[in-house]
Amino acid sequence: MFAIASNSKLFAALALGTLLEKSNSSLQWTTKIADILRDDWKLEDPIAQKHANLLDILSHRTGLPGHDIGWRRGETAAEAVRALRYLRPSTEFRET
Amino acid sequence: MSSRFQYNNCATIHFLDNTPQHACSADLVRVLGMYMTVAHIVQRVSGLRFSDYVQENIISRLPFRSATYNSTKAKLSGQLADGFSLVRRNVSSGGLGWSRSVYEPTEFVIDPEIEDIVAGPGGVIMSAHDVVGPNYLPLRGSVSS
Repeated sequence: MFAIASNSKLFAALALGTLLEKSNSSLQWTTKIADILRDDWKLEDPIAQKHANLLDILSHRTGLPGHDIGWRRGETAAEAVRALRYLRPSTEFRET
Repeated sequence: MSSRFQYNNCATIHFLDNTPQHACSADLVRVLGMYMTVAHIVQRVSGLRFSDYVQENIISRLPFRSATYNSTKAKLSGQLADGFSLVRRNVSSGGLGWSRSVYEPTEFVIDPEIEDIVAGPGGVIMSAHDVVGPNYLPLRGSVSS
């Protein structure tokens, strides 16, 4: 056995898809992240913060670059998401 | 120096420049924040830990033999592969350089302390059998990472 690393991302995307299916349309690919995560979701770019939806985060078009080392040991995913507000975007929202 | 390395350095500088002191410790490691966001959304909506949600709704419903997010379980199975990293490359010897390159064993990167945070972008541990099996490959073809 070995860690399949970024190949795990397909499980994350699939998990989100199954979640949408279970939600009976209360969640859709165009549902805004701010409506789901509320105060946990804040970005430096107010337009991206307000309008980013599930498709945007899976397509990496929020304007945030990789920021690949933006978390530390012992943190939860929730804590890491709350820290996104401190990261500088590299492009406009949906520019990429 | 690869462009990938340069890119990460650049992103790191921007990150450190705008981040509270608590996040600037030496044990920072790599990940993509949007997949952590996906994991957080799944947890928030389902009420389950992300890895438990995937285990229950995806992995357990397909005939995977070994797929898991649980690093302890993987280690205790005795089936965990050793990892190696290249520490010195020998590019001489007319194409025989690879045979003289030096590799060192590396510790398995996932442990219980980071399982939750790496689950979305990179937490799955599985066997080669599962990777090449009929369940995984159709999934792999549908998502770009």
